[in-house]
Amino acid sequence: MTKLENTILYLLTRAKERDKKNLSKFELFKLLYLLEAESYKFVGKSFFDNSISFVRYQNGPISMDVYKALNVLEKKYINIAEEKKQDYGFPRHCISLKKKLKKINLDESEKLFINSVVESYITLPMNKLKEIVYATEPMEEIIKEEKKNKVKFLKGEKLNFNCISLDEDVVDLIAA
Amino acid sequence: MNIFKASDILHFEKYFFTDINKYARHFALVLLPSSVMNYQNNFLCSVITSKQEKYYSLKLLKTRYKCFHKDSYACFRRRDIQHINDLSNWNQPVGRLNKMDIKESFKIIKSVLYGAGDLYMMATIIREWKKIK
Repeated sequence: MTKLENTILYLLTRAKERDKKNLSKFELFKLLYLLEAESYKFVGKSFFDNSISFVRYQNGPISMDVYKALNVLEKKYINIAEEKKQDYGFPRHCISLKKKLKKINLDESEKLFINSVVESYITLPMNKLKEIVYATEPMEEIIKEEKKNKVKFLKGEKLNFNCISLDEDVVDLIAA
Repeated sequence: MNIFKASDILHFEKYFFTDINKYARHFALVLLPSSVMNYQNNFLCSVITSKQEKYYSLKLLKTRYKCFHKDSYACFRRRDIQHINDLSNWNQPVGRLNKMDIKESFKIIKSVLYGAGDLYMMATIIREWKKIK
């Protein structure tokens, strides 16, 4: 199983522990994106070892790699069903675990980092989550480009995580 | 889930020393709260002792923290996972670092973590302590 697949399963497990029986695809994409962005911010590198990419879409970042991972996981580990959530007027594809997993192959400290990121965002309504994603540096960079080119959105354009600055306390730590 | 946060001072009936595999009665400082630990009701803590540690420790004055009978030291080189069931029956948390000591602790924690080489542990602790800084 890939690191992305393990991370998706871990996010679903963690969500369940926080009384969220499923995650919509919207939420899952945003959480994975934020996890990658926070990894660049606090560790200075990709959480997924550059094995996945995100591209600009109408409602923010999406990733073909995540779609592929979901297809793989759907056979054995997850269910994907349409469900209407309170904070959105239409049904969305929601993902849940088929059963509790005994082992997920991630380092303990990677799990801690995911927990910290999830804890910050999991209770937020979708519009707030979207707002936070749009305030990240890769999204700001592409929005700037869209304004410059006078286009509504640069559909399919790859998001650049290398533009994310290291957190000032991490810089401070390295400089010391 | 319990409500203890990073920078809370707890008192343990049985503080578990990971390296020597022994328990003892001790104060401890929460480095990571339960909400981010991999098992519910666990915390990552640094032990607080009355014995001065030369490096990577912060002096906590008994005049500032009423829970201590002596000036004490938070020892940041030591990081142990504790369980909520091992807390004493005192009112918990028994104290909470003030703003100045949080700032000082954060400086020391960062320097200890840099040497530890575990990038995601370092990132998680920095991320959590920034929330309370």
